[in-house]
Amino acid sequence: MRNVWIIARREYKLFFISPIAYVVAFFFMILLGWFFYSALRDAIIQSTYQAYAPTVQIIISPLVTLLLFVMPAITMRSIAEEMRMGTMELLLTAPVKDWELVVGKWLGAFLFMLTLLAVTMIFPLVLNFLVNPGIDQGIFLSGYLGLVLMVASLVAIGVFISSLFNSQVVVFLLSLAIVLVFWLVRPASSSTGGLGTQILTYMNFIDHYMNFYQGTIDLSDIVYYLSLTSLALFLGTISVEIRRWR
Amino acid sequence: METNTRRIFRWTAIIVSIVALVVTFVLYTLQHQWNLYLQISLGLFVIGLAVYVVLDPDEIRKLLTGRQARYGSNALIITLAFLGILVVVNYLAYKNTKRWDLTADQSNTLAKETVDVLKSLPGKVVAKAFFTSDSSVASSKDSAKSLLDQYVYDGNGKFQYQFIDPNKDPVAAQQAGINKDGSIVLFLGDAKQPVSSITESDLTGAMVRLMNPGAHVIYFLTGHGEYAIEGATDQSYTQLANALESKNYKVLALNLLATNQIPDDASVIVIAGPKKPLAEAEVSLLDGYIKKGGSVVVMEDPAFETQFGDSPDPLAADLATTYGINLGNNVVVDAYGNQAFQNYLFAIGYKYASHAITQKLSTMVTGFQSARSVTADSTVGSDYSKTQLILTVDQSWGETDMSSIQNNTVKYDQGTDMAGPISLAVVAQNSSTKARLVVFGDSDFATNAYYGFYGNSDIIVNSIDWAAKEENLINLTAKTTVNRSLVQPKAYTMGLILLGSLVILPGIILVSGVGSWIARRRQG
Repeated sequence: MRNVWIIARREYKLFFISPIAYVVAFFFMILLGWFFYSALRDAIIQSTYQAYAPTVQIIISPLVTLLLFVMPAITMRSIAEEMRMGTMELLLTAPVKDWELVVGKWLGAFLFMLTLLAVTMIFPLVLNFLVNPGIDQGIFLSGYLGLVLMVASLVAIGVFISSLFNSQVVVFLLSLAIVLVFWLVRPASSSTGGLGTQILTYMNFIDHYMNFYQGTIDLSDIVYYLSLTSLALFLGTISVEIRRWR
Repeated sequence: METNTRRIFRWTAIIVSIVALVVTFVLYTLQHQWNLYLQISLGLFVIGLAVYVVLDPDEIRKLLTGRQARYGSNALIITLAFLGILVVVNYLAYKNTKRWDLTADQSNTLAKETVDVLKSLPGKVVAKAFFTSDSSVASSKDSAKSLLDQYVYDGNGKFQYQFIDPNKDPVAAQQAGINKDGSIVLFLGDAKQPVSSITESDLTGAMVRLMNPGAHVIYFLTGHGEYAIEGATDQSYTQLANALESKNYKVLALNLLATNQIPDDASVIVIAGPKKPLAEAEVSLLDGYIKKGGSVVVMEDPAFETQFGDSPDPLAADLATTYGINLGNNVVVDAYGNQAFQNYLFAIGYKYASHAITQKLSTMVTGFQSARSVTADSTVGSDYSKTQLILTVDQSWGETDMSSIQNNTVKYDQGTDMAGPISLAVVAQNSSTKARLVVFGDSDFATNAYYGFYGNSDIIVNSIDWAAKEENLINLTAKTTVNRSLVQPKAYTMGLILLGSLVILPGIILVSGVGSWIARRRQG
């Protein structure tokens, strides 16, 4: 376990050195800031006609979309870079188990994303001062909890894909594609509700967020995101192991 | 086959196969349809793979039995096992999930009454939600889904739902008898019950009605030249009758003059535009019925539209003396009707009192062709709490000079004419007997000719619903909602927010990024 922590700390620090992370964070925050500001302007107009108070959802909604595109950019470097630079062999000979390597990389990226999420909390804070008597804390809590779970699984998928290829560009594109597939998957509209339909409905990434978005914590949603995270990390471990024999 | 050509073929085959696989995924993700293109690309994937194998079986054999293959198959088995465990865990969680509603208003939790109704369901209820894929119903489809999900969660297996696109399955839509996009119909065995709106109280109310299929009978009075509930002419009430029947009411005709008694199963008696006055005997029968808690909806036109002539009107007299509801001897002249439809005798219901009947009408006007005023006198019939339900615009009046109407020379005469705004309908309710009355000054608005005019269908159906005490079936404990409002920020605050979000925050990130880059370069 100590190895995991060592690798995670190194990864985390590396984020603050690499220019990519700053560039991504910069665009992330500026876009989120813009969405927040315009949503606020719309809310002001709407509240003059009827009793209306914006909820934390006006922040979370664009945040989710931004996250889905940002994640592949953050994780593409994790293992692919090591492969490319040749430091992977070094890591593999060290007394570090394969799963410790993968989980460590994941943890480092995950903690970085948590830091970014923490910074975004400034927006709900500002909103809380603009709404009387304050925004609904329950939705804020469940919304961000759902985000944490989503981020965990997105980072895991990114780390897994990163372990498959040496080229960061390929990793980025493939991660993005897989995230989009999970985002958009739906059963065929002509289907009648058999097992296939139910499975496809269950697999949709965003549907499992809807409960968190509306203020409800549902156990099966938590299980879904944790399953996705553990599956991706598991496959990542296997992929690193396979690389060993090459 | 020569080795080189063989190699080219193999590579082409595997590339075609991979591309076909990607195309399959993309097609399905975008279209969600199992169509011909999907089948072709899937077929290409399989064929490409097969050609790749067939053209060099030796290499494949080495691949499958070599050392890598053995390690690989180990990995595969472990992966499948892991996947199996995940599937089982997810399935168990899905079937036995728990939910915690964190909202301050508890807006994602169902009321105790709903949970009780769900517990008392005698069998499985299936809710069929009919939504097309049109974007106008997309958001109400989302809220319908989250509401239905809550019912499933609390239903303990007795509540199920399915979404049906009426465009793709018109047979199911017709069987359910829906006429509006975004409707839900509940099914319990053979019985069905439409849900009037997608809210918790209407959904639970529909469940209750589904369990108590005792027919609620609505009787339309006949024998005085009233328009019929059958026949498809403009001057009949067939659309209204059909709407009521689709809500599981029985609609029958009642000739009081012949039967001389009010049927026991009458939920509501509707008097729809009599052309001749009711007899005294009928009026006293109705009085007796109302005293015992009965409900009556009266629609009576201004005198010149009927054949009353100079004969007395026992019904109007009774309404005035017993209940304090006065049918004015006038015709409403409405400036709004004149402006909008060039017809000053078309009275437009512009403002509504706050009442269960008009609750959902908010922005829809109602139209009454040649109406008389209906006003409430609080000094008479004080055991009935009365409300003037519909008001016209201020620039209208009740014209008493009938000849001026015939000569087209209407003008407002202070003192004789009733000043606007004019009340076009009155609701009355007796809290001890539970009797309910709704009186309209016009009967044309509910006929086929005007039924489709904006809020007309809603107001007559809601009135009959209210009179039949249908909305009393279920009273949900109101959830305490926290009233939140946006404190309008000053321009200077908004400027500060703009600065902070778009300049300061990203700026800090930029500066630290540059700073760390410089620090790295310094270190070399």
